[in-house]
Amino acid sequence: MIKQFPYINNVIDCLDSGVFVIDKNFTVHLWNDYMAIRCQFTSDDIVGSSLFDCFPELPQQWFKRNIKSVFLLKSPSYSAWEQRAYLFKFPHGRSVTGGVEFMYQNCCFTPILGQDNNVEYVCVTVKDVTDIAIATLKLQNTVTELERINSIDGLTQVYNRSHWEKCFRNEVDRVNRYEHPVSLIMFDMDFFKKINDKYGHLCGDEVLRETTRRCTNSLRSVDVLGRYGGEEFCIFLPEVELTGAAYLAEKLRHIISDTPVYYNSLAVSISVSIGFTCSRSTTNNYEQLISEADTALYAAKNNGRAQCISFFDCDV
Amino acid sequence: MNSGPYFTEDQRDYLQEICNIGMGQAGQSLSVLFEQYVTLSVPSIEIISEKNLITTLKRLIPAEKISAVRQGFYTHVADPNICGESITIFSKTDFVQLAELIDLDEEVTFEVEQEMLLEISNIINGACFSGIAEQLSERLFSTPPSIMGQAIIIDHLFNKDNLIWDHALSIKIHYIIDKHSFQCDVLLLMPDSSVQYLVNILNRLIDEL
Amino acid sequence: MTISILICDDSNMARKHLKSILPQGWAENSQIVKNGQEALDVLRTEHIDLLFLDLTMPVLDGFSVLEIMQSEGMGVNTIVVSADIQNEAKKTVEASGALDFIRKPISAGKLINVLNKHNLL
Repeated sequence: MIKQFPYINNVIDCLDSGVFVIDKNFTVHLWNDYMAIRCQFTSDDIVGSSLFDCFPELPQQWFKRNIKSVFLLKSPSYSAWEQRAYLFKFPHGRSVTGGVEFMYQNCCFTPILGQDNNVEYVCVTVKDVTDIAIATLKLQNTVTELERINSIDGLTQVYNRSHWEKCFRNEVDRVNRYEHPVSLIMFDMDFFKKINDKYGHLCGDEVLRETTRRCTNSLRSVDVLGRYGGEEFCIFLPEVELTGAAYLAEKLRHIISDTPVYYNSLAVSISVSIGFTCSRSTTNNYEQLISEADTALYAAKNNGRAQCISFFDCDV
Repeated sequence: MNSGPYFTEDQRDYLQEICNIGMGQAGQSLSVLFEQYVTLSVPSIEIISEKNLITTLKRLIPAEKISAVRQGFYTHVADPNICGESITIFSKTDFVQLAELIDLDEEVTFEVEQEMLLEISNIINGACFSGIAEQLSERLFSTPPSIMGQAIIIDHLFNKDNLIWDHALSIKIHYIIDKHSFQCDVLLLMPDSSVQYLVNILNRLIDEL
Repeated sequence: MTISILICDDSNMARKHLKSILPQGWAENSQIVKNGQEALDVLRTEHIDLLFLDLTMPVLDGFSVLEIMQSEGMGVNTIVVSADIQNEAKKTVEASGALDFIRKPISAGKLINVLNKHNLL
């Protein structure tokens, strides 16, 4: 016969994880030191009592379902911090620098089989994953922030060209799939170089910022504005047909140019030239639509600036 | 010419029958838990090359958006052994109905959705692994499930740099629960060395027949 | 007495395995088919004493075979051998006239028990 190591219970108490055992009525049969140290119940207090009587704040319904499946299916089940931050409100080692109230926990519910090969008990382990959780959350925040920075034009805070292009490509795919319309508006500040030369680049910057502010305020939340180049901007308008695009282009032209931009109490008059186009039923191509709006924009420029022109009115 | 591993007709047939029994057990577990009949289909077996992974997956699972859960499995760590990852792919999932199915009366938040996916994957995999392991006279251990992505397109499922194998075995197992909008596919992916080991076991079993 | 057997399963291995554990002398009088449709084709033209039927199969599954047999009044002793081990499946096949239900993997012992139970030996 194999001689059992005599201090097996001490080993359970030495573990750097919470370990306890319950039966199908949720009566506790084992409770290691790790658990005892982190709550008000010692092993003597809790063994023989119901887990839910001692921890009424546990998510009972969830817990019961989980335990039921372990008994029924004889296979382990899990709880992960990403979905459920903790089961027990335990203190943790990052109380000063962590910025979180309770220990993040990964828990594992493992069946213990009896003589008849049926589940008699469930062993629950509680692992402290606070450090991993904090690091992962920090990384996630950083990634989100980097993605944001990577998609935004620093000066105007609207989408930069590469991100806008990505959005528009997706939109064109969607339009072709569902045969919904999309309109595209491209505009360019008139004589922007002259503004820069006359009032300085800081003034030019303010003109660009104020222009995007005026635009943003007149657009719907689904319209997507981006800075395409130096003083050139693009907007795509989901679900908008040509007449709607013509109306909005004219509206934008007025909103941008009817009031001068104030810079250091100087009133700087500005105007824009606008070209726009609209999708056809299914066979739209991203490059094609861009090139159409571009053609219309150049027509507006050549026609004397400060006006809107539809691609369908251009001679091509 | 495909230089990767391949199965003879007998090997494929035997493996299919083994999976059939494993998936039957998983179906039984699901039906007990959901108190609903689970419709099973004939499992399909393929060797996927790393190069064609995404194209193959798109063909196997023609859904626009999917959610996926990964769970690792391995036999006792020896050389050779079987190891791999099981990927449970959910398409067309109505989470509110799913919550009803498992008698959940919490509000269905993003985290609760994830928890349901993890729970169902774990149940399916647990039963599937033990069924398959029993047939192969091996013991399979598994790691806790984790979310690979929720409501993503298949192209974003894998990080290409992390695929350090040339061929993998894919076993597609398909479950449908009739009255509810629940449907999922399980892919058991194994790298070349495990596939080779599996082939050896299959040969032994075929010879014993 | 010779007894004519039909084994219907999409898996070649499952068919071979079942054939190998049949009681002595039965295998010589057994035929095999790969799906439900092929089974019906045989059942409609020949006399079969005992059918071993899988459930999950391509073309036509076992549930449908049982239904069609019932509607056409074919009283063939049928033992379902299946990996679909849900209670619902068992209930359905028994209601559709199957003699018994054996869960896969099937062993010689299990088979003999079932055959004894129905006095087929």
